[in-house]
Amino acid sequence: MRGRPLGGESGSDDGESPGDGDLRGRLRAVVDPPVLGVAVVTAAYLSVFLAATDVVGGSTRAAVAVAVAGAAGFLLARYVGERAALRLTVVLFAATLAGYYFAIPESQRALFSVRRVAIDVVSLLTGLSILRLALADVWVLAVAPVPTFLVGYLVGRGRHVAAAGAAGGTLAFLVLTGDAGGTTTLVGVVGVALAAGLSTLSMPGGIRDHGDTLAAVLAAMVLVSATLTLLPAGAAQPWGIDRGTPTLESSIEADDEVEVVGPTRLSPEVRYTIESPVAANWHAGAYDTYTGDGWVRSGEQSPLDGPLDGPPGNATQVNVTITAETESPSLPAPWQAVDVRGPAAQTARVDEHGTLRLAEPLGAGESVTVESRVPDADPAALRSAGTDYDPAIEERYTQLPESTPDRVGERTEEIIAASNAETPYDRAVAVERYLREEYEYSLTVRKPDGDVADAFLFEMDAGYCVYFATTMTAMLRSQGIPAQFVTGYSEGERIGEDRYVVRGQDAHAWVKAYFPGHGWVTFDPTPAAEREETRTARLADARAAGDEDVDVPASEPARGAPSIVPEAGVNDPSSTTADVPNDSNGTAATGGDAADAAAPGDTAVGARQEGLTRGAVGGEARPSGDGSPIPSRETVAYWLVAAVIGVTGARRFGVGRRARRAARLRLPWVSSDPATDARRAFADLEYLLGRRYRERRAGETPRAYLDALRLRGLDERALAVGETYERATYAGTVTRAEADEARRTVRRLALEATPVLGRLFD
Amino acid sequence: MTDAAETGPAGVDADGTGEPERPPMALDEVAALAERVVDNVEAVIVGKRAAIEHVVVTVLARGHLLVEDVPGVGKTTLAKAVSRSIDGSFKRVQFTPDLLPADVTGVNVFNQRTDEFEFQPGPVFANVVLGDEINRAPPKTQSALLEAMEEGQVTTDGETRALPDPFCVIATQNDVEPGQTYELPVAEVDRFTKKIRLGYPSTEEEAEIIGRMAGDHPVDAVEPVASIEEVRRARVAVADVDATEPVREYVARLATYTRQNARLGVSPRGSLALLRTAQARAALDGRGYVIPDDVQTEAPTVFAHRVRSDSGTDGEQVVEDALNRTSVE
Repeated sequence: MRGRPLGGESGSDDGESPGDGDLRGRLRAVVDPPVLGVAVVTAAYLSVFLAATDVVGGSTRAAVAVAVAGAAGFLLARYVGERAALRLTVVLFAATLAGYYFAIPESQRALFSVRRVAIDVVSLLTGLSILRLALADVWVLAVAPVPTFLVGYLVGRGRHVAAAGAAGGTLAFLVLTGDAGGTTTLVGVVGVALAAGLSTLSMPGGIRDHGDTLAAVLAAMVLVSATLTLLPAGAAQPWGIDRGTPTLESSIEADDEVEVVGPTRLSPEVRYTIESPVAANWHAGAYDTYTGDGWVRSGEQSPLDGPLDGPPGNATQVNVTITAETESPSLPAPWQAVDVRGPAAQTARVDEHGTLRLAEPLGAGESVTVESRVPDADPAALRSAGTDYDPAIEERYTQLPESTPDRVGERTEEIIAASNAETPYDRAVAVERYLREEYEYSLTVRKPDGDVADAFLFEMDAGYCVYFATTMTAMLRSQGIPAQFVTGYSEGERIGEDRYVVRGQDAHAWVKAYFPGHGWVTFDPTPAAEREETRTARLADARAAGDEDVDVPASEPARGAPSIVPEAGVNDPSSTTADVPNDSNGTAATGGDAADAAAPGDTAVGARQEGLTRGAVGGEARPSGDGSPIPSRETVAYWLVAAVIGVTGARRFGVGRRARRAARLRLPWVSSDPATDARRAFADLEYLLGRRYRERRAGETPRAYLDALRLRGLDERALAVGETYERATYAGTVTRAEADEARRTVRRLALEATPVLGRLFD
Repeated sequence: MTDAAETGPAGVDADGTGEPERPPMALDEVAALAERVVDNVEAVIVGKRAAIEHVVVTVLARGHLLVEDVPGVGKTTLAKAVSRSIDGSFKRVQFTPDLLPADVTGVNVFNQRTDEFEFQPGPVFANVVLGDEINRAPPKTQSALLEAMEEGQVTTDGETRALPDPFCVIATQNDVEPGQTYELPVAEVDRFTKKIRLGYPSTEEEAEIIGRMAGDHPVDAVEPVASIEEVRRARVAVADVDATEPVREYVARLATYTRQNARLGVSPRGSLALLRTAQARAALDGRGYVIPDDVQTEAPTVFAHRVRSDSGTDGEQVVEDALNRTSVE
């Protein structure tokens, strides 16, 4: 094993001059067809790693490290045996992990234990994004080069399938962490299949003979996966997993990660009853890492050990009692909650962003009391807060993906300059006002490609809270102002003094900016009035539809109160609460609904209408939104792939030839010389009989064939055709009349075989 | 390939002697003639109609026939009956290990009365020659007969004498005593147009055969049903049967297949023989053109003995494969 210089293809190099042959062998190893597949799957997992470093920084560094590792592996292939290379890989992995271990701060390092690492590995494999690791950039730098080294080495040895396996394994890991999306995964799988297929077909002529099969298989893979995900999801998430239209709540309530989605809907179900002396946005979670299309909450949680300090500046202490009406993982309370009392207090934890969280969700009907310290700094104080940020906070909360376009910052500067804002507070207010005034509120938007903040700022003219908050946070960060993306609930319906009903539709996202000496201050760039209108309409619809769970006793409107009249579309009272929004909110889910709601004179307002009038976003028409559907890129790609596989399949199975023949059989013909006509007649007859009985065998003469079929009830007229053919072919004596008669006979037989057409022609 | 090199006596006659303008017989007459002969012979040979047809086809195709089988199944009777059905001369040569070439071809004998050497023609000078147990004679004697078959003439003491027309050799050989026989070399077997086997009769047929033969041997009672002249004209008609290009290509493809799939395949002489017998077969059907079915009927008897397969056996399997795998237009 050790003595073999370079497996596979380099064996033939031995006779050539060392340098020359080495180079040529090396080149051959690179241009081998299976390398294409390996390259595809390697590119797939590297794209995930590099996307992560784009968010957390250090992408150039990581790219260089990966390139060096890959090249080193490839070059080492000639000199190092496989076992040694494997050992080297393990050593390399251990070394880089050690580097990562020593790179993270000492305080966190203390947390490391075998159990802890094991839990971390398990949580990584069950969907913990690598972005949430401490020092994710260092982690990527440590981990990404190792499989790349192995892939480079295996390619150098000509072990393409193993190389594709190593790369595919890495990609599989990233799929499990949830960092590799559907498209990346599909590309990776296609790459593995390509590598395996091309490697299998690497014998001479293999690709020529079976290349179309491989192509068809690959096309089928793409098509099937695209069909399974594309069709049910509609235009919203063409290549993603089918999740239907998510509720706004579910999209921002996700554990530790918020993905910006396309159209969303509102759930009117009651979530909490909150008793609070102040009306506020109920804060549930804060996010620090912006990925370009979502938010990630990084860092660890620690048990709550006595009350938190609360905001550094002046604050009002309030006690808030939260009663969960449905099972609830969050603890919505006025910022900043500092202590928890009640049965749930034992499981309270605090994360690195100062948010109180519960390890065990609150059960339905369970209550908990939270003590909050609400900062009450006035604008003047905030204006004078200065920019003397804590470096740790500044670094963490001014993060932006490296790929964020510069024009986000430039536009922000323009806005600030236009309002003559000097201090960070004024700047934040300017940005907040700009977004509120310039953009419309809409729940039905098409998720943009690329950076959400950039797209919202420049290409879209409407969105909902997640878009507004994401954009504002990114804009503030571009100005060096530390900012968080915050999720939670808005105050909800006030049903008595200090009592609020909070429904699913009140789920909200907003922004907090940091001011030295005052802590985190809330900004809400979402146009409040429009949002309120939407929610009111949604609630009215749900009440009118007789949904349960949308009210607590105190919140029910008096009978006969001027609520909004229900109309067509909400006609299925038997459906469960979860289903109702699909029926009535007019998102892309149901076309018929949309048509109803769009009818003139429609009295419905809010989400229904909102969703429709906002159908066209950023100049891009949505398929079911209005009357001018321009197919999305994904749809076009889908049909292109479908066409490719169709043509390949048709060619492979000779559909075209068969169709021509079937048509010629039944339609009047253009005649040529009698012998040719007679032969064509027999060829058609043979095709016809081949379909009905069996095909003529290789060594079977026409006469023997027809004789054999006579036993199976062959029409006697066919024998005459055979005789004519025989004379045309073997005697060369056939007349025009005989040939025509043969063709007529065959046509008659064909038409009899297809009764419908037959009636047409007889 | 020129016709002259390959043809038998008929060719020599047609080209060299005085009756070039023999009118060909109409094809339905050929068919009728063949049927008469076959019926006539069948009266003697029970249940061997296919074999009899092969003999008739050989005669009409200007070829020679080799019959191989165990002794006593009627080889000689068959040959005798066919030759008697035709109103021509018939000679029989019993090949033995001490038979000399001159015993076949004939010798010059000194006639004391005329003081001259006189040619005493051997048994080969006949329309139908039965070479019985040809593999019992040494090769030298065998080759005397085979030369006559190939050349259509006999040369003794420097003088060349043409053989009669039609001239047809029906040779028999048995394959039960390999130690005491001289197996025919491949080159000589190739000169026989066909090789057929008769096989044992079925029980009923055998019962009938022994019943018929208990008294006088019925072959002695066979009367001619065709004149020599008719046979000659039939042979001309057969040579005129159309073999179009698709058929010729089919024959060539079959031959090619045997060459590719056996140690020794069929020679072009074999292909020509197949085409000629196919013509005769078409004529038997009263048809003026050859169809692949004719070729398929003839191929096993014409090709099999010319093929040496790797397993050492005859090429019957190879020919069967060729027929099954070669595509027909």
